[in-house]
Amino acid sequence: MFRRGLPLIIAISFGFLTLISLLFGIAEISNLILAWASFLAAVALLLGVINLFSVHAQRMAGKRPFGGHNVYSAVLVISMLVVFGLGLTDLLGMTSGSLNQVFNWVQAPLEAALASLLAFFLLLSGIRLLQRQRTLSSILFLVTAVLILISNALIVSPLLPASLAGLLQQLRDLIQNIIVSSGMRGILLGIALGAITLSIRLLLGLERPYNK
Amino acid sequence: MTVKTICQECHTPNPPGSKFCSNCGARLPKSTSILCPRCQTPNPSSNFYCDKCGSRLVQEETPPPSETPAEEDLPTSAKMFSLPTRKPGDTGELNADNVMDWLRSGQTQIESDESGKPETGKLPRLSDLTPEQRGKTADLPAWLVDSENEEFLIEAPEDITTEHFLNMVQQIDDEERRKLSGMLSDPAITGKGGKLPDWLQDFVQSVEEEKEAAAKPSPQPPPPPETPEPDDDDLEWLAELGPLNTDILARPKGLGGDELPDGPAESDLPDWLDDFQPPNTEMLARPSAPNDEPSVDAILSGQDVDVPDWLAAGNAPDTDSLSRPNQDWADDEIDEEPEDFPDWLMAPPDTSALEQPPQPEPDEAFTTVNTSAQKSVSDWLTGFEEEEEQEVELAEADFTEETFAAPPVTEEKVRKSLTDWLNELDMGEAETDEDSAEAAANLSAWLTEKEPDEVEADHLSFGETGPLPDWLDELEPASETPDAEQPTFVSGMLEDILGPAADIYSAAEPEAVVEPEGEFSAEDHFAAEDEPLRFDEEPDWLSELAAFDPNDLVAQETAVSDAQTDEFKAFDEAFELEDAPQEAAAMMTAVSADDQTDLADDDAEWADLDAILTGVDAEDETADWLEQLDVPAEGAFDSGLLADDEAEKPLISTGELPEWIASMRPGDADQQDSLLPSVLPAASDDLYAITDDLADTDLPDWLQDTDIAKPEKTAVPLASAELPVWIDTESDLGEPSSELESILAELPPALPPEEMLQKAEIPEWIQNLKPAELTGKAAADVDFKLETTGPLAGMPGVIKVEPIVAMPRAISPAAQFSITKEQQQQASLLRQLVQEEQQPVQSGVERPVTAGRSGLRFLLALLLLAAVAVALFGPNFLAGNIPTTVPPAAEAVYTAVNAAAGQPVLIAFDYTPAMAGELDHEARLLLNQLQQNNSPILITSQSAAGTAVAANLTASLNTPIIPLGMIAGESIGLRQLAGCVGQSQQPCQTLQGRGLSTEAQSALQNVALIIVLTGERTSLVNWVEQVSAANNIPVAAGVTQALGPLTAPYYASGQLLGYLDGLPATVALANSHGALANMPGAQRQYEAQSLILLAAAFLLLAGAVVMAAAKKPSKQGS
Amino acid sequence: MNDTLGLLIGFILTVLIYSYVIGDNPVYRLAVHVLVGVSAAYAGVYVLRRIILPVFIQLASNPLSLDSLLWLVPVLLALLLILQRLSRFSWLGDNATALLVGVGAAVALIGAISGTLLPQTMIFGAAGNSLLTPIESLIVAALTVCTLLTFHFTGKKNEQGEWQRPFWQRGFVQVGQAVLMITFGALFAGVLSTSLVLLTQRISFYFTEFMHLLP
Repeated sequence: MFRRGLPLIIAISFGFLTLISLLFGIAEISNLILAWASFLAAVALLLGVINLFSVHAQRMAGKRPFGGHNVYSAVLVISMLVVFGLGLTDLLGMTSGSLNQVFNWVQAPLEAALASLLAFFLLLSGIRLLQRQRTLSSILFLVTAVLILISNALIVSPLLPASLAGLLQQLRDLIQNIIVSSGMRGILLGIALGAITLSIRLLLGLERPYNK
Repeated sequence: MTVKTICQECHTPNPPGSKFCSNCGARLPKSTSILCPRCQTPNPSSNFYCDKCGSRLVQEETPPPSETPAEEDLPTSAKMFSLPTRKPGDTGELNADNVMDWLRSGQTQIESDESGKPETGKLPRLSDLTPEQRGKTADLPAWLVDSENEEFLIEAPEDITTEHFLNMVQQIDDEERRKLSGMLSDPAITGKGGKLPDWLQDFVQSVEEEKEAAAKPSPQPPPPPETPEPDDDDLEWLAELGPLNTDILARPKGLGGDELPDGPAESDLPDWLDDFQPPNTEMLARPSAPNDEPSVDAILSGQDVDVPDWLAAGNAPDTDSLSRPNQDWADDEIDEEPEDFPDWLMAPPDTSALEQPPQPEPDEAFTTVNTSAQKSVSDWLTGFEEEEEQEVELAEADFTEETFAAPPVTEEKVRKSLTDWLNELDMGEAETDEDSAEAAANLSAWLTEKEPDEVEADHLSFGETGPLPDWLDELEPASETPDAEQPTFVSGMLEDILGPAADIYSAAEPEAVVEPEGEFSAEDHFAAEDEPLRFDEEPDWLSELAAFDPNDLVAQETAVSDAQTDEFKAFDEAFELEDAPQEAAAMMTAVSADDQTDLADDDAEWADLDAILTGVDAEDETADWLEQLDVPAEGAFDSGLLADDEAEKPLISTGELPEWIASMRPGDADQQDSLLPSVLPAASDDLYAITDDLADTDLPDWLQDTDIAKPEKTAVPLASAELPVWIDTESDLGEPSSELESILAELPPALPPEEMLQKAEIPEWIQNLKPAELTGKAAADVDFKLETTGPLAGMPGVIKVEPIVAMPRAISPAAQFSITKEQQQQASLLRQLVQEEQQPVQSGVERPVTAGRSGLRFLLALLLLAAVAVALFGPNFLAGNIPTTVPPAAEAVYTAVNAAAGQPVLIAFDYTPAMAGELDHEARLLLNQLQQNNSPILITSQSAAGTAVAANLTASLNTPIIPLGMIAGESIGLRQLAGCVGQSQQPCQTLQGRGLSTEAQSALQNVALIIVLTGERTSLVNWVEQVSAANNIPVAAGVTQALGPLTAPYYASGQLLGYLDGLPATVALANSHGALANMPGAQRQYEAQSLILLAAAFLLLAGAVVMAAAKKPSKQGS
Repeated sequence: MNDTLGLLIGFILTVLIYSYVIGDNPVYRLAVHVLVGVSAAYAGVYVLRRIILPVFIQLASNPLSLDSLLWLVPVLLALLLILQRLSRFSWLGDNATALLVGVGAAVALIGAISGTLLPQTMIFGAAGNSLLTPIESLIVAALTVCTLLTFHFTGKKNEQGEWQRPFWQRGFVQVGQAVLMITFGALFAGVLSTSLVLLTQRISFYFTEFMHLLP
């Protein structure tokens, strides 16, 4: 009971404490609690990284249940070790900025490349759309996408006569300012409502993600 | 209605059972189909009768959950029944009504028959019963409760509690003890084998003979090198063999000889013993290293396909518990020993493993049984063949499909619709995958919502089919003549256990085939066919008894190990395939959760966990179990029981346990492992030994009647499925050993019997457990899941906390967290609804799938790259003019920056290098402008990578740069930052606990403008909701084109002073202010954009039209 | 020289990633694993060095102040969070998680109400940066309501046993779905544009960089 009860008490009490202190602007309390929470979040992040390392180290070692000797895990572990080592040397002053160098040399290009790779797959999935479904919705979706792409491309194009470009721009603005903005607003409100619902449930202890 | 198999590629509904799409020829996922028990035809799970032979597939139609007794029965039944181990789909309820009846009857009968035997004294007399216990027995027929039979009566085990066992123990009279001591001194019992009781040694001996015998009823494939265990074990126990103990051997044999009037009766014997094989062989082949055993047992029992499919579905989170401390257990007891669940929960993947060996096993029973597992496996295997997490989810859906009306595709759609807008909201692929993954969990949430119905429905039907009245009728007159009753009560009990399964042997009408799942009936048929053959071959029933066990064990072990290795590779492959898109997602948010990986890797985990099933890994778990000695029963076992159990076994069992317990050994084995993990293997040895010995002693009774003994065969597995741990406990606690009594006496007061009850209260947490993977908790689980495979493996820490902290992300599954009736309604409504709206997610989620079509993809890539190359370096006849009119929102940013001239400006670099291609331009533009304005620049970010990006961009600036570092905790951290920003706020000496320089403090307090540069929805929304709303400091945003539409409403509402959405606006703004020179490459990229966009639009349109023309339209919502 | 080396490394890694266009292959997986390892380790090192250590430094600077003593609470909870890895003490870590949940819920609640719900509903008629005419604003309001109705799933069971929303909603929902589809189309176009910009940027970046390398 204690095991399950204590977290519940902590969650509810701190939740309402934060709520009240924020609502009534009791900065001392709110700042303290928020600082605690964000510090804990940072610790959790670090734990996650450590966990990642340990799991892949076990996979690399072929230790079960993580599977046989996984060379990719080995690569991952080694790269982590390198970065850890460089971070340590940076901390000790043996090297300077080596961590940023790794970031700029390895992480940045990889991330950018993966992100740009997205274009192919977006395009491909868009193409396969009608193959999957021929519904009014999908056609609406595709037509809108193509229309906006073309308008973005041609509005500024020298080839298109200004009148036509203006027409195209009006159409695009109509779509974006009226339909898309209302759709987005509806989505945002939906998210907010969902957030409110879940927050209340959490604050009332109806949801207990912390109870295992 | 028949559930059509929906093609993953073109969503064409295909006739049930088709393997390839009739439209696009793509391989179809194997849907969960019911194997026809008679003709083995896979039928759609919605079928009630076989399409081919018309035999009934499902027992009864599913009653609504409200009607099912589960809610009210479970609590009580849970008290007395522990975790059931079952064949897949056998969802017989742990319902007191199902078992009590034959328990009573069987009990009384045995007592009356074997009145000479010590049992008579064991059970609590009616007089001993506490009033409430009497109350419990109220539903017993009056004649049962009447006084002269009283001594034979046990209380109706409505409420078999620890006190009850204690009672039973205390009722052991002294002569009993003397007998015990006599037995102990008897060398025939204690003399040889050490580990094994003598009858076991005979058993083993006969096994040896059997092995040498050329003709084996079920020849088994030799164990592969992967699992040397079985061999070793065999050798081990072979080594332990003592000389044949003739007198023990003689006893049962004599019985058999005397009391077996006819051949068939004898022929039955081997068969029901045959059904005991797995546990027997477990016992025999158990490696002596104690630590291995629980898991080994669990596996073997698991191989007995005792675990229903839905458990397999609910399996994933539990497997996590191995390495991840965080999972949603609804029960404290479970918290105490999470390690022991995986053992039996892991069974499903293991059963799947059984199906692997390609060569059909002669032992049909097992192969047929395995087919069921095969289905489930293939289900979640499909999850890997497509590089899509939704496949996995489909697989999960398949588990519940029997009661779940909608075909997988609709479920997939639901999940999509749950998240499609979220996906689209985010440029971040990780975001989309994550959301969709969450939604996948949500979906499965309402999938499981149905599940109780299914389960309980089967329970109900199970309960109904127990022909309780029959045995009562037969029993009542027979009560005077015990012998006559023998058949009736056995059949009664068997039928109670089996339901119609028992009928299979009495008659082969279609109804007989009707069984919770066809496999068993098939298995039984085979067993029935085998039996004459076996009988002919094996003159001696003991050799019969032993014959099948070791072989089958070996067979199973080999099968498992084969399958394990195979599957393992398969899973590794699958996972690696799975990897690609995930990691594409992974990079977007550097170390963020990729739940697609989760869902997919659940299954990959199962594969990995097969490794555990081999018991290799078991040391860890058992080590943990042994730590947890606070469980009373365990303590008892650990402390004393092991010392003398070998000696006690025979007497205890013969004396204490009625024969029907003997038939429960499979169940016992499982419960021992799943329930009392810390019981030392030796202890579980005893349990098997006890029941085995019982088997011996009880044989005569069973042999007395043929048509009853036949059901025995089926009785065993199902009984094993039915019989709870309390029987074990009874056998243990019931031991007339003074040691055990002393142990029990020594039980610390901290362990009241209720504790035992708690331990036995499995069904409740099964209920919790089953949804735990799929319900809202699962949404949490999806977040909290530990990756054991994939590049994100082992990420629970971050993933656990991140969604909590980043509320918006955690929020999408909100509606699904706990499944209420409305939510179920919502889910089905949603299902209908979203049958028309799938596109956005298809663009977002199905990226992996499209990645699979390398041909088209490669062509597309070439065209796109060509367009880019031409646009960048070739003659760009379409080079877009830089527009002279700047979007007002963009202009507003510029004016805001200028308005803050000289005052500190806080810039949040909430983007990683992934988005740098577009956002760096905006950042450079704004940074240069701020530098010109001599505004001190406070720099922060919500990610470590963001701070590095900021450091690179601001390195060359000569205006004062005040790095605040990374703001951890997303919305929480931002809310705290908001408390430090602005005149109205008091200066913060520390930010998130780390000290701030006075310069930073004053700058924070005087911040005149906040600029958020991000490509992520959550980041932008957090800044707007937490910072902009918290104080009156103007906030401007620089976002990607993808995020532009989402930013617009906040700009329109005035929450954002302005925003730059992507390259065009940035270039236009820079151009209009002559700042374009400071943005290297921006103009070139912009000019190239128009051509590239046009090419993309053309490709999109043409490709879509061609595709749509090439393929016939797929019907929706089928 | 260093820059050249870095450029080459980056280029090679980029090529490895782009090899996914041909199909999933080992080098791609290699690159992705490197990415995950490096980024995770970078984040870990950063968090440890810039966030966690400074906290302890701050506490050590003035260990006896009330603030420092109060900070023992999160430090203790952090330890519990670490203990969570030991299954025996895992339940202790729940307390840290619980604190995060509670605080996060409160923050999210306030943020959602004050940051999105009220502003986005009050916007109609309120003076924002909206350039819409009153009629346009009314249309937007109506469409927004339709969109919201699309997300509103409560219905009755019809004779087929299917859940249906109230009939009066259905017309609006049709409109709302159309609006959603168009919105998603626009979002898709935006995402595609962004990814194309990123692709262009990558290619032009390496092109120009290698041009510079040429003598």
